[in-house]
Amino acid sequence: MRSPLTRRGFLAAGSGLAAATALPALSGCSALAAADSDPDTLVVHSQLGTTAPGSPTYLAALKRFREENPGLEVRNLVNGDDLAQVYETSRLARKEADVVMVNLYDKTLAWTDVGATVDVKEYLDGWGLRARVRPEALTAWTDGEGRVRAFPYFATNWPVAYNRELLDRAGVDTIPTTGDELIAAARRLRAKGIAPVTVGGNDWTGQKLLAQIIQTFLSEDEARHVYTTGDFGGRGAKEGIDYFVALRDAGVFADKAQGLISDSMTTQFNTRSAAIVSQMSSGLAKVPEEVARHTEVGGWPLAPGAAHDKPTILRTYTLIGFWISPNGRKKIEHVERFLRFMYRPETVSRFIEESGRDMALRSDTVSTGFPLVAAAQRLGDDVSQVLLPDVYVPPAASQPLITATSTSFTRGTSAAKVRATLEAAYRSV
Amino acid sequence: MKLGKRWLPAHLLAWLYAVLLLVPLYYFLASAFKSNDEIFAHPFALPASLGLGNFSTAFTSADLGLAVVNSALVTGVALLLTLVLAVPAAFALARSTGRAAAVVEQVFSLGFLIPTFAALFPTFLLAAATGLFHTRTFMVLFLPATAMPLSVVILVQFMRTVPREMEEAARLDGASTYAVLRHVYAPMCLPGIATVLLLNFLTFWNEYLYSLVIIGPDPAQRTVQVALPTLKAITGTDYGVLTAGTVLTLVPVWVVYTVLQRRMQQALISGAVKM
Amino acid sequence: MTTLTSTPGGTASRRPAPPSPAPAARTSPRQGGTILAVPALVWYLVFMVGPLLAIFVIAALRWPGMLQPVSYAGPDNFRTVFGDPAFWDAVRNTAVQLAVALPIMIVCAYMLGYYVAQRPPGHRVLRYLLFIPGLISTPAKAMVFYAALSPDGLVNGALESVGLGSLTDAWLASPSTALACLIALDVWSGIGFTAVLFAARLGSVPAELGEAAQLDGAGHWSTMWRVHFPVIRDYVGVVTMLQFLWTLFGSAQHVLLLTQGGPGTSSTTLSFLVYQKAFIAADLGYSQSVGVVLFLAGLAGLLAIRRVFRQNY
Repeated sequence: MRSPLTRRGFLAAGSGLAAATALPALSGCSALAAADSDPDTLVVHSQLGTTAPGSPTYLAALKRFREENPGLEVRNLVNGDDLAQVYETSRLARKEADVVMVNLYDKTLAWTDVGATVDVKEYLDGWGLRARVRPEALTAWTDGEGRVRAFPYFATNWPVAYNRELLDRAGVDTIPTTGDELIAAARRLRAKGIAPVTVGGNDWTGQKLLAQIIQTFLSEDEARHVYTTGDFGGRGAKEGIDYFVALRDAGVFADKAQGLISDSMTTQFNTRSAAIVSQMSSGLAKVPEEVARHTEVGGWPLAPGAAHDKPTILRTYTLIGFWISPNGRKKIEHVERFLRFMYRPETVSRFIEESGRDMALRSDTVSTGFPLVAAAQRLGDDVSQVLLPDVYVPPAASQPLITATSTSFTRGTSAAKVRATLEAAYRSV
Repeated sequence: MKLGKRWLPAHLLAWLYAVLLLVPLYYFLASAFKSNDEIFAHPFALPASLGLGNFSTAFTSADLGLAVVNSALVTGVALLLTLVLAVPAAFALARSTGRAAAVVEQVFSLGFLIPTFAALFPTFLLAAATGLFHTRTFMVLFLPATAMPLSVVILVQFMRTVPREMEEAARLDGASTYAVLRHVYAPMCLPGIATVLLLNFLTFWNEYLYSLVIIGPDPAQRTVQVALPTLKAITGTDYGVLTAGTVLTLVPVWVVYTVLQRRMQQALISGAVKM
Repeated sequence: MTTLTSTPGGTASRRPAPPSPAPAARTSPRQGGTILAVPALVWYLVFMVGPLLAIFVIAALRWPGMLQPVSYAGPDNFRTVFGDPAFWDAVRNTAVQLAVALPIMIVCAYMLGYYVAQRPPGHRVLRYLLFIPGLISTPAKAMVFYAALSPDGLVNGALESVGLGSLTDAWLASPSTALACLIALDVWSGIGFTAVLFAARLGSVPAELGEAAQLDGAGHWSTMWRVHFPVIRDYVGVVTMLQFLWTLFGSAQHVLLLTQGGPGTSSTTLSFLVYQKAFIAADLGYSQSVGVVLFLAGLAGLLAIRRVFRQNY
C-alpha cells in the first residue's frame, strides 16, 4: 500500500495532537483536583463574578482580600441560575465549596435541614458580627428551629417605578394609587401607544408581582399561611386574585405579558416603551440616566377594602447571603477571615456606592450614583410592605408556581382557573 | 439529469430552508455588536456600530480563553480515545463471522436506546464513586463511551467494503493483524474516520449538561459550554455579551467543520455510510 | 436491532449482494483480531450499560432529593408515576411531538435529499449549509428561537408588517402553541442533517435507474417516490429510527430552555419530566422510573419502525 501524502499528514497531525494534549491533560488534572481539599485554599461558590449586578465590586473586594492574606489562596467558582443544582451534586460527592453565595429560595430552603450547609449562629455570635446585621434580616434568615441559615448580605427594595414623562405625555397627572386610577392611566397610555405595566409574566418577576397583587387583601400572617400551604381558597386570597384578574383584563399589563421575561421587561421600561414597572434595586440601578431623571418610585395601587392603607412594595433581606458548607467548617479560620472582611463597613459601603446594591447589613452609606435606589430606600413608611413568598413556598412548588404565572397573566383566564393553577403548583409537595 | 422549469418550486423551497438555517448565524453576529436595549427592541436589525466591547467583556469575564483550552483538551483527547477504541473494535467486528461478534454488535446498538437525561444522574454517581468528580478526566473517559455505538456502527460498514483480496495479499507478504489494520483497513476508511471524527467532535464540543454537573464550576476545569451560561444572570443578562461569547465558541467549530466536511461529504457521497 | 446495522437490501436485486464475510471465511479464514473489540466493549459496558442498569435500580428507591436519605420503595414509584396526571400529559405531548415531527422531518428531508442528489446549481453550498444546526449548541439554538418567538420577536414583527397583527401571539407561553414551537425547533434542526444523509445514500443509487424510469415517461415526482424510495427504503428506516430515538430522548433540553414544560404541562415531554423530577422537583425515584418508561418506549418504537420499513420480499 502506498500511503498518500494526506494520510501521512493526517497521522502526523493526529499523533502530534495526542502528545500535545494528553500530557498536560493528565498532569494538569491531578494537580488541580487536589486544590479542592487544600487546607490553604478557600473555595467560594458564587453567582457574582461575571455580569451579575455587583460583580465588579465583588471581584475588587476579592482582590483586596487576597492582597491582605498572601498565604491564603481564594478561588471563586461562578455559576448562574444553576448554582443550587451544581452545589447539591458537589455536596453529594463531598466536594462542595467552602462558602456559597446564593439567595434563600427554592432548593436552598432545604439545605440547613439536610446538612448541605451548617447553622452559622455560633459563628455569627462568636465572631461578634451579629450587631452588624439588620434585625429584620436576621429574622428572615432564621429557620423554624432557630438556626441561622447563612450570613445575610444583600437585600432589596422592590418598589414600582413610574415614568413621569410618559404618564404626562398620556395626560396622566398623578401617580395612580388605586386600581381604578391605574386602569384609567393604562387606558390613556395605550391610546398613546405606550405599554402600561411591563412585567416578565413568564418568569420570576411575574410571579413576584402576582404574589404582591394577591396580597392586597391579605394580612402578613394570612399571606404566610397562603404561601406555605398553597390554599388560595380563603376570602382575602380570592379577592386578591379577582383584583388581579380585573386589572389584567382591563389591559393594565403590557400585551402578551405572559410571554415576556425579566430582560424584556427591563428593556421595555428602559427604552421608554412601557411606563410602569415593578423593579428590584439591582434593576433600578440600571435604569439609564435620561429615563431615571423622569422616574418616580412608589407602591402598587390598592383596591377598596384592601388590608393595607398605603400602596404596597416588596422588601426582602434574603438575597445573596454567605452559607458555610461542611467542607468550609474544616477551614473555619479562613472562612472567618473572609466573612470579617466582607462584613467590614468599607466593603459594604462599596457595594452600595459602586453597584447600587441594598444591603442586609447596617450602613450609613447612601448611594449617590443611583438615585432610584436611594429613592426606594427613602420610601420608608410612605408605602406598606407585603411579604416576599420565596421563604415560605415549599421547594417542590417553587418552579411549578413560576410555570403557573404565565397562565395567570394570559388574558381571559378566569379567576377560578388562576386559583386552580396556583393550587395545582402545590400538588407535588 | 436535466432540471427543467418545473423545478422552480424545489429550488425556492430548498434555498428558503437554507436561509432559515442561516438566520441564527446572522442573529448571533448582529447581536454580538448590540446592547440589550437594541437586541430586545429590534432583535434582527443590523447593529448600529461595530465595537468589539462585547467580545472582550465576554472573553475576560467568563474566562473564555481558559475554557476554550479546556474544551479543546477534553474534545481532543476524547476523540483520540474514541478512535483508539472504535477503530480496532470495528475492524474486529467487520472481519469476524462468529456468533459472538453478532451479539457484540447488537450490544453496541443497544446504546442508541439509553435515554440521555435519565442516565445523567447514575453517571454522576459513577463519577463520584470513581473519585473523578469535578475533573475533566472523567469526561475524557466518558465521552468516548457515549460515542461508541454510532462510531462502531459507521466504521464497521466502512470496513466491510474493504475487498478481502487486499487483506489476503498483505497476509501473503507476511503482514501481522496490526499491520493489516494499519496499512490496509485504516487508509481505506479515512473518509469514514473523518465522518466519525466530525460527528463526535460536534457532540463533544457542544456537550453541556453532563459537563455542567460532572466537571463543575471551577474555571480551571470547565469547558466553554459551562463557562458561557455564567454570563447569564437571573437578575439581568447582557445578551450582547452572551451572543458575543457564543460567536467566539462557534469559531473553532466552524473551522473544524470546514476542514473535515470535504472528507465527510466525500465519504457520504461515496455512499459508504450505510449505518 | 439488527436493522441498525443492515446494509441497504434494495440494492441486492440489481447487483450482487454486498460482499458478506461468510464466503471469504471459507477460502481464507481471517485469523486473530477479535480480541480487539474487547477494550471498546469494556469501556462501553462500564460507562453506558452501567448507568443504564442503575436507572432500573434507582427506579425502585425512594430518593426525595439529592441530599435526602434513601430507602427501598419497590414498585411504589411506578404507582406514583402512573397515577400522576402530569405523567399522562407528558405521554400525550411526546406522542404528539413524535407523530408530527417525525413524518414531516423524514418526508421533507427525503425530498430535500433527493433534490440535492440531482446536483442542482449550488448543491455544494447547499450541502455545506444543511449541516448548520449540527454546529450550534442547544442553548444557542434555544436563544435564537426565543428571539424569534418572543412577544417582541421576529415572527410577531413579520406578522405585523404584513398586516396580520391580529394573529400575533406569545407563542412560547400559549398552551396551544408552546408544543408546536418545540416541534418546529425539532423539524428545523432535524431536516438538514437527515437530508445530508439521504442525499449521500441517493447518490450511490445507480443513475441508470432514474433515467430508465424517465424514458418510460415517469416525472420526477414518481421517480422520486416509486423508483428511488423503494431502493433506499431500508436506509430510510434506519435514519427514521435514529431520529425517533434522538427526538424521544433529546427534547428535554429544548423544553428546559424555552418553555420549562409550561404553560401548565402543555409542553412537558417525557424526557423533560425525567430532568425536571431529578433536578428541579428533586424526586429521583420518580425521575428514574420515567427513565425506565422511556427506555421501553424507545424499544417499542424501534421494533414498530422496523416493522413498517421492513422489505416485503
